[in-house]
Amino acid sequence: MDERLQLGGEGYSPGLLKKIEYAGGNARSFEVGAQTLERLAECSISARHVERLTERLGKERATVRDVACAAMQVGKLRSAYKQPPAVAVVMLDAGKAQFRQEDAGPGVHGPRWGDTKVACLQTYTDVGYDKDPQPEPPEKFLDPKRVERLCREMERVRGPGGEKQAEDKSLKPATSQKPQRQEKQKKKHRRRKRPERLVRTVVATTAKVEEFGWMVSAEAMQRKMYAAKKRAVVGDGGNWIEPLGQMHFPGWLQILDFLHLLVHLYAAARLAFAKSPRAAWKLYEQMLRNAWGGKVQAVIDALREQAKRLRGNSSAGDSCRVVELALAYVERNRERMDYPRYRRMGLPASSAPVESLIKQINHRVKGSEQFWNSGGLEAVLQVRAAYLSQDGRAEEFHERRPRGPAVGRNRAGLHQPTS
Amino acid sequence: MPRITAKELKARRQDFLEEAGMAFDRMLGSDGQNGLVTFEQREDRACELGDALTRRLLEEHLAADDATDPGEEVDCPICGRPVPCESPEEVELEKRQVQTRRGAVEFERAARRCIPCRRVFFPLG
Repeated sequence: MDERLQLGGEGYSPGLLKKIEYAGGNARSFEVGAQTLERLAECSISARHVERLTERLGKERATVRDVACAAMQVGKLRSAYKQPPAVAVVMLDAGKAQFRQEDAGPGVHGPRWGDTKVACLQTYTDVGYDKDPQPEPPEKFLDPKRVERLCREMERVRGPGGEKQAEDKSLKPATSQKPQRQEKQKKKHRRRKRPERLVRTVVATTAKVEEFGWMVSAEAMQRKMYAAKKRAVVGDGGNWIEPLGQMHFPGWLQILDFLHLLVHLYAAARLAFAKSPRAAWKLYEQMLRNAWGGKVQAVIDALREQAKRLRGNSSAGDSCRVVELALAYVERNRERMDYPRYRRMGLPASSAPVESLIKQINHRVKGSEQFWNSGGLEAVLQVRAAYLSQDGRAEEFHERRPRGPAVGRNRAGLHQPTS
Repeated sequence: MPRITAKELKARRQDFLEEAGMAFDRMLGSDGQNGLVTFEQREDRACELGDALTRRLLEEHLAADDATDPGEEVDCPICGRPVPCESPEEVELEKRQVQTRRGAVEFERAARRCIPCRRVFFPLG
């Protein structure tokens, strides 16, 4: 009868179970989730119980995902859609969470930071241009305050912690355009037809890169993204992203996230001219404009010149290292920096959507007092990812989730999901 | 054979209408107000009565389900051995409580007893 009723062995109706899962996977903590349920759903349930149920459902979601991965590995995974999307983009990035030692009893033992890996699979409307629709960099990349803030924000999201730095008030926006002209340009930009974001789905895990690669490719396959007319992988240039892209997405355009490039160029320029903010800004602006225009060699030349100059200065050890790192970063990713071409094709040059996802996932899993067992975090990531996906998978899962038989009275405590 | 006859259904409908009538009386009393003054008092009472009727409806619906006592052979979820049902008409019914969005409901369903495991379980049916 349970099968017909689509009732699990948890003692909660499917409608209530969805609410419990939503609260456990999306509230700041299980405690807040339980309080939210009490206040909003008038359902009294302990935080521990919310945790157990959320983790159970998250593990079931992970099992479904792993079945798809296994099918992908043997070439038997089929798409759930008839029509491929016109434009398919996979954006990859990693976040951080705090782990605790497994099976070490109550309390936090052996705390450490670990990685979470996130993929944003986004489809867009197909918009192509005859010429570069935006040859000039956006104003925000030429405004010292906004650039400073952007760099700090990126560091805060990605790193374990984050400290506020004083803003450099000696710099003003470098733009010489008059306000009227700026307004006119803004209107022009508003009129331009831009690629529209359609459906986003999310893959998140604590697994290693190899497994993550299969998860993302299985998700792309299910969404028929391999058959899209335009396909791209956007990443921040991390050393694991390129091999993953080459292995699982051969033939797709590989794009370096422009924002990460900006952060590297800004850091290099600042340290190249640590005592002269104006000279630093001038160098940054020159490199940024060249990068935006796809003149990668000019960026490399500028960084080489600064590295050479700093190498001759014995007191500039750290600065020289940062400039050399930026140089190596640009050289390593030069094939992924043809930004005018990406803009003409209507492809994104930024991985902002996945950065935003990392923030949303961090909101649930990254906190000063949050220390996870890897199994618990993996389960919660599945729930969070499902609710951040826009294809209705969060709810659909409940309609076809495997249910186990309830064992009554002198309960055996066994719950084996049926396949 | 349907679990509930037309006659029983009619009787249950009558019972339900009586309970709905009592809910109406608890809301409006004999003077149309029943001492409820603020909006919150009225809302709380209406929700409480509405929830009770919702639970009752759900319980009635579950009770009238044919699948409450399936007779087919099922395997024990613990040892995996088949647990036959020799006389479906005498199948053991167990009460189960489920928390819903409107509170707890109870319904009966077929239970099987695995003798070697000494466990009662509920077939998925």
